[in-house]
Amino acid sequence: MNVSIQEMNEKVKGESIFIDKLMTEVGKVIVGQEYMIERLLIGLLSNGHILIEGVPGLAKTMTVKTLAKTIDLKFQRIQFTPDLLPADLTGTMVYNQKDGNFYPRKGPIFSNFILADEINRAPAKVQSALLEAMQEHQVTIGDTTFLLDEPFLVLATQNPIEQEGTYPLPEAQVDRFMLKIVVTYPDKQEERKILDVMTSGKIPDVNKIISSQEIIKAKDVVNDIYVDEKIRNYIIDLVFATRNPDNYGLKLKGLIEYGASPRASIYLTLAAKAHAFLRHRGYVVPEDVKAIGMDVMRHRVILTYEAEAEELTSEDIVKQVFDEVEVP
Amino acid sequence: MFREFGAFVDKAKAPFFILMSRSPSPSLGTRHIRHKEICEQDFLKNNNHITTFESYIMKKIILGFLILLISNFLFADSGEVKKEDSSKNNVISQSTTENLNPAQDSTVGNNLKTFPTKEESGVKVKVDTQIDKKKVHKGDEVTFSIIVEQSGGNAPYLFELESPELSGLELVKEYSEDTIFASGQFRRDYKLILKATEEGEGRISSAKIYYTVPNQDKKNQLIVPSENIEVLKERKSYKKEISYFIVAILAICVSYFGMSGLKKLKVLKEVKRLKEKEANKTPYDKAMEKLNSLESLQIEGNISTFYEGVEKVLKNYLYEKYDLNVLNKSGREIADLLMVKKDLLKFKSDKVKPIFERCEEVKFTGIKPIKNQQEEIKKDLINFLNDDKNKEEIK
Repeated sequence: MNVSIQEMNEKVKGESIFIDKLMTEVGKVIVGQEYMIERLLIGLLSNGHILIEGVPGLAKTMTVKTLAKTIDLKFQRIQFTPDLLPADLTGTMVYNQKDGNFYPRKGPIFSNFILADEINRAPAKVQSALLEAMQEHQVTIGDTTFLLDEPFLVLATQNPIEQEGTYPLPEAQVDRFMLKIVVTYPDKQEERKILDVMTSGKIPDVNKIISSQEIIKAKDVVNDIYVDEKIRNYIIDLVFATRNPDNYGLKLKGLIEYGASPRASIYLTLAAKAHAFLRHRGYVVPEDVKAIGMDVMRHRVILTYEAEAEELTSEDIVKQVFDEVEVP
Repeated sequence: MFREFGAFVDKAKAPFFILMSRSPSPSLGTRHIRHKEICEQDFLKNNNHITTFESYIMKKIILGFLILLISNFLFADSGEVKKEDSSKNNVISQSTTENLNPAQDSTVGNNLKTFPTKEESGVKVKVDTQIDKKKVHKGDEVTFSIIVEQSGGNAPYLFELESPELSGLELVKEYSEDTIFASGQFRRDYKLILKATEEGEGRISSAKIYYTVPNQDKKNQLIVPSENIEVLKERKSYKKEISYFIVAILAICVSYFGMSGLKKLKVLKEVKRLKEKEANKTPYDKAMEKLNSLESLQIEGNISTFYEGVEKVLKNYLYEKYDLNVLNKSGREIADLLMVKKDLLKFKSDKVKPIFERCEEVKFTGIKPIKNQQEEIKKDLINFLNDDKNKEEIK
């Protein structure tokens, strides 16, 4: 056991060197937003898709674009609009006049990084097409099924304001996103830096730090990261606390309509592993679970009308769960 | 109707027609119907020669009437008795020392004795005795009643009772009650409540009742004959035993609860003393004490628990000394918290962070550090505690 943990630690330290380099490289263009960059990497390393919520102008698109450049991955941005069709996303069969045959024409989804901008503006059928591809990692055009390229990461953005004329994602579809991250405004110093960088007339170029193959290799290492029994039980306790808060001494009775799903337990474990990898550790500690807990749980806890009437958010509830459930 | 068809009715068909004849008179009482039914059956069984049922009924009624008449004539005396008894119910005045119903009294007695009556100028004086039990257990009570009845005369005589002598019995209570009936009859009941004191035979010797007839100086007397009662062994009473038992149980309970209460009090006192002692200890003292107690875990080879203990000691120290809410926080969270509150603290968070990190590593990987590593973390913690204490003393 001792040897394997130590070996794992060494392995993780070796494989995760690129993380710091990558953060530095992205930091050339993106000021602040380490939180968002880390979450994007967690999603990338643990095969999870990310829903990003934030007001316009917070460099969501630019961050994803920059990250894709540093990893040498194909990046596609799809603006979701009410008139978008599933075929616009996945592709369609195109008729070739020369030979009189139909050939599949792959849509923008055939990329490594997909930025589904304002996903809630497109109708449900388009959202479903994307979410199906996210889940299955394959797309069917005509009679042919095409596997999507690996790594495959969907980053969907949602605008918390301007809800008129939108198609909010149903809870079942939101649950398919591993993380829901909320991007907030930068602080004063960060904004000043952004101002300096963006008004200098020349946006710095970023270099490729890691290849897609190396990312796939890193993903394998992340899978091998050790998660102790205590941590697994802690994760289960956290998820169950959202379902039966009374059993954990939480005063949340009547505030939670639906607790977190088993997907939450799975994603908490996977994301905690990826977080440990980012910290160059070969094992998971409670800190890893707590660090990503809010992002995994916030969109999985459905509140009651009573909670909404009390102006409580799912974040308040999740915070209370993490504060009260005993840390091993 | 029955008369018209009666001649044609044979024995077998009769009940049907009887029912037919009875059905039109629903106003008759069930008792009457039953009586009539019995009569009809008797009639059919035994008196085939009588042609009509009505004549049979008439005969029965006349017979009954005659019997009643004869019996009334024959038992004229008992009729008087009945009249007398019924007159008891017509009480116009009653003076009693106890609230007793004389009508009930006349039926209660087991042994009613009537003694010769004295007649003087149309006045009848009669004495009866009554005893409720002839066989009693020692200690039981028995009621001996002497009933004096005066019938006739303008006014009740003055009766005086000379109490009987008692042997094996003891007088508990004596009282009398007078009753004047509407017929002019006067009755006095002397009630003697006696208690059997000796086993064997209890004897009530003959009592005397004196009375004076108005306008006569002569004092008459009535003698009430003696009465014997069989006194059996005293009933075994469990009352005493039960009371002793209850007292014993109570004594045991009191002593048990008293003892346990005293014990509890002692324990509480000890707990209070220890708490006070603990309260007087500084966070440093407590941390050092707990750290020393962890040595046993090292000896037992329970390394993971030892590291958990070290982490707990540090968390408690930070909580008690700096009032930092660290008990339910991970190492990284504590480090972040210390960074936020660095101005309030006398130590640098980088001294604490490695200790937490090492503890977490052992806790969540299951690795077993060697003895030197264990001593090292202990040493680091002691150094941190000492440094913090020295800084405080210098200040």
